Amino acid sequence: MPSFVRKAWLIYCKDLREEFRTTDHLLSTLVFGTMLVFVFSFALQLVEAAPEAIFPAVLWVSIVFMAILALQRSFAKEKDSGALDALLLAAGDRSILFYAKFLYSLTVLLLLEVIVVPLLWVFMGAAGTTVHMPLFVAAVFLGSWGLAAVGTLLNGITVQLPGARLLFPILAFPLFVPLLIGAVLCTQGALVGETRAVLGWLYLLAAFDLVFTIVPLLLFDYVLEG
Amino acid sequence: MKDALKSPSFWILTLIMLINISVIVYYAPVEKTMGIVQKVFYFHVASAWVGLLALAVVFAASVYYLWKRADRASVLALASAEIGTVFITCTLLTGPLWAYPIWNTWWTWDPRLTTTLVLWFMYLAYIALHGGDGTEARKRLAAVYGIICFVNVPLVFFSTRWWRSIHPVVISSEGMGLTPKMRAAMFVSLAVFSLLYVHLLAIRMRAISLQQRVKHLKAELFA
Amino acid sequence: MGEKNVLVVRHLKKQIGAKQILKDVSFQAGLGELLAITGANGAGKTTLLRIIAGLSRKSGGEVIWNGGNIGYIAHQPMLYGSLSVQENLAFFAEMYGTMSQRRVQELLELVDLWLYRLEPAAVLSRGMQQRLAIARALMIAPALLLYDEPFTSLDADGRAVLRRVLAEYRPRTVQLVITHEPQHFGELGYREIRLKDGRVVEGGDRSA
Repeated sequence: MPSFVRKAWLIYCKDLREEFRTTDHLLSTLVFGTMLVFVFSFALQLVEAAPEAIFPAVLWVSIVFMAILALQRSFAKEKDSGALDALLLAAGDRSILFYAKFLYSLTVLLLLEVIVVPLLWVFMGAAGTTVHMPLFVAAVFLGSWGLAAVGTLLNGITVQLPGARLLFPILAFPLFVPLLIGAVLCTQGALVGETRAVLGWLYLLAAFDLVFTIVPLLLFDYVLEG
Repeated sequence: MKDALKSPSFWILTLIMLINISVIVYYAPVEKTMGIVQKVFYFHVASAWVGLLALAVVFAASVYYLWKRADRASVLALASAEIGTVFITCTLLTGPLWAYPIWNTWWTWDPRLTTTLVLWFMYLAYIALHGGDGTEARKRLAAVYGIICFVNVPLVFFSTRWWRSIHPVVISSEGMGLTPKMRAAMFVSLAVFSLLYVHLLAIRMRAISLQQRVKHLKAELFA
Repeated sequence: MGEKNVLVVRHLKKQIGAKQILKDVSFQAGLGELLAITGANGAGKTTLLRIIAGLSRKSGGEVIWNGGNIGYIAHQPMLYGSLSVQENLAFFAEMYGTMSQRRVQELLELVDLWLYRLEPAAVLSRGMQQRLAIARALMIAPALLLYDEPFTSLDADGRAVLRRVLAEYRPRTVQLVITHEPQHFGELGYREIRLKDGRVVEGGDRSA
């Protein structure tokens, strides 16, 4: 379906252009993420916790919090201006919109992580000699993929209910549980260089991503029905 | 409440429940090593079963609602989620009662315990989303979320089980070793709790429907 | 079935919860027709338009449209505030595959916004945004144009622009306009469809 891909790509480019035209939201999220990193590292420093042991958990809690902020944006700005209706008409198929917004959310999340993750790394002094870098990157990427997919689907739900934006984290957290388990254990394995055990967790992450990338194809028509 | 006392199904259910309790107390033998505390399991497992059954009903009713747009299906899903929450709460409360003397801990991140807790959170989120005020958008969106939650349960269960099986298993919840009498008491309990679920479901569905009707009538009155 | 470029609405129903917004709406509109959809607030005018556009689900009946693209001018301007006037047009044109720079200029000149083409849509006044929304709907080479109370946010000049658009596009489109004041059409001829309590009480298609 070339027109499917073309339209999704156009929406994706439009969203990114819009995001960088008014960088206030992106910047606020970044500042929030940086502060999270600082608060966590500082608080854990006080109790002298071993960095290797807690780094994966702190990393993913930070990413999830940041994602909660970043992912609520994808449909909200369009809903506010009413442009969502015009976009729905133009897209024709509603799942086009899901995949465009998903890609956009994933891009934004990865951009934020490129800055925040190394910062956390430095602050917590997690860098050991046994780190398996490709696995670490794969874990972060697949984890973010899942967060973006679930987040986009749920954002499509919460923007329809005015005054219910607080629902987003409540709906999201229970769904994030399997992803969180996989991502934390995968990261931990990558840190200590335990590649064999980690592969299983990578598969789990991939399975989670697959499920929440395909399920919206069936459900998104109902989400944005209006 | 007065109405409930007048309905025959209330008295029949009370009778059945008393029979169930006597079966658990007098018929089922006392477990050799765990002692009398093991009897909480007949309530614990039965409420966990109803909690899962209720989620399956939420899923089926949600699919049906999106397909046919029958308001009854949406009411059924909400009622089922509410009752499921109550039963899962019972499971989460009775579990530690047993776990503390036997496992020597109130809580452990066993796959079943974790899945049950996540299920409880999903129920709360579902109810918050549905809101019960009967607007079309909330019904539709809650139906979508109900379906996603159902899909999520196996993911949660397998990820926690896998996590626990890679790590050394500290405590195993396997090997309950039920005697035939115990098993019989367990099945009686499961059946009675399922009946209780159906009964509560009917009451709650009626209440939600009436609530929504009152809201519509008020809206028409003030329109 | 269904003739090309003829909009047929037959026994259309829309129910939300216990409330019947549209009970039974039937009418037809062919090429070159201008329909004024009138009726009190809450009569179901906007719902009707949204169903025809495909933005809302119908509960019963049918809508047949075998023509080309549908241009929809809603109550809200439906624009991207941080994108420029020109970018707003270009984005939608590319989505429909009808992009042409010459066309962008023509349309922006038609709605008197060519001077503002590089400004972000958010800084425009309400009336200018409405004119941009009209240009956007025309940009996608529509065969069916749906307007939801287009005159309300326009000043006298804006209304003149809209009349020009209505007249110019009349031969190649079917046009439906929700309005409380059909007198704004000026000397344009139109057919009135009056909705009351979810039914057509005037005009419409009696034969269906």
